[in-house]
Amino acid sequence: MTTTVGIKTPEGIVLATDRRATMGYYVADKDVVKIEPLDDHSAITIAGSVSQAQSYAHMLRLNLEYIRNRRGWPLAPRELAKLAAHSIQRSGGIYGQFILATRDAKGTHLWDVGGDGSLIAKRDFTVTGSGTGPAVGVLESTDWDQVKTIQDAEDVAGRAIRASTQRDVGSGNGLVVYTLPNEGPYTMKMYTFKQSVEEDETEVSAL
Amino acid sequence: MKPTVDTAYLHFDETGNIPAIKYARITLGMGLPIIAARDDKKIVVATVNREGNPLYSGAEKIVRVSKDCVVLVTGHGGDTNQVRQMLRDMAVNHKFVLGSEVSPKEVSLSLSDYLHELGMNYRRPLGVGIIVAGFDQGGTTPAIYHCDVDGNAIDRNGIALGKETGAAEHELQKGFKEKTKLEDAVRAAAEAALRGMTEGSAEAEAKDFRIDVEILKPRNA
Repeated sequence: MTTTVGIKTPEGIVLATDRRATMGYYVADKDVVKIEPLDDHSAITIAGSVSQAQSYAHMLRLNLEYIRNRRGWPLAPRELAKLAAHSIQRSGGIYGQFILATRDAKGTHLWDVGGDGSLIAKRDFTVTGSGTGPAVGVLESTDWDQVKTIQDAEDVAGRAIRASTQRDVGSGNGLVVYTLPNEGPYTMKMYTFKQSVEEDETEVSAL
Repeated sequence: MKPTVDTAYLHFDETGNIPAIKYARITLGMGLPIIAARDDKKIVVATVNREGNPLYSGAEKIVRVSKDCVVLVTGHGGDTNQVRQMLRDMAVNHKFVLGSEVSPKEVSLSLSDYLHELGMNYRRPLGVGIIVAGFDQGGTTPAIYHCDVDGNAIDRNGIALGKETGAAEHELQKGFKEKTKLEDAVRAAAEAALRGMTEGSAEAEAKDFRIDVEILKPRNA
């Protein structure tokens, strides 16, 4: 379940997810945050089994801290990505899909980490989760020549998540947007989709 | 479980020393000299090896562990083999998991952990002098570490281990103080060690040995 989107722009990376957690057909939570910052320079989106994904993100966070403290400098983006994929592969797989955003002095890097331990470096964008269909429709129809800034990417990511919440039962309730610019602090914003009840004045007639 | 052999030599004695560590240092002090020094751009390493015997080409004293790290070993031959194999395993594992070259800092930390654990597990220390040299922080920053047999890893600018360490380090210090070209200072240190080894020795002459000097530069310079 879930929809997660990652977009890479010349200015940095945008990650976005919906806010719904499900247990079968039951909406277990409407305010979930499915983006886990790992440190000041990386974050991962989680989709799939919440337990496994949370514990996995926690493991990555602790490894970043441990290695930085032990050797004296942080994991490079490629090292973190390899570790992220390798630890899944060695564990026999996780019921989940992940998008990883990383940063070093050269800029930002976007990675797709599969639940089987696969690792793919992404040049432009990626989508995971049950709402992939509607979201990727929005992304594929986007004129990417016009997406130059983080703000542009936030708008596209928001539309993609919004589309998935309209058509995927596993996605809904709101939007979380994380931005990782090439330089400077990351940001995380949360939005809730309001549900107002309005009378539908359409005439009802028998078929 | 209580060991079946007398392990008193692995414990602190009344002088505060661990005899096994003391003996291990004697062993590594019998090894042929290994020397390393660095400035902020490069590292120069030197070894003294046997030469002139058609039956013997000398031992491998400079072990390439990764693109960013070499290790110089001297002392007990069997123990140096153990270190060599362990480090290569470590480099492969590191590359497999993180996809990067293992750095001198990580090698020195792992080696020190291992050397320390030996003593804590009723096993004798390795009689090996180990200098870890290379480039930290993604292959950019020169670094030299001395891994002592007691499990200590010390950051160094220059170091000599093996026979005639005193003479070699004296030359190195002189080179640093007089701002001699790093290659020249290291070669002078190796020559000083060799002189000390052969002077007054009935069975060894300078021509029986050769000095190898290697300059290491950062991969990402």
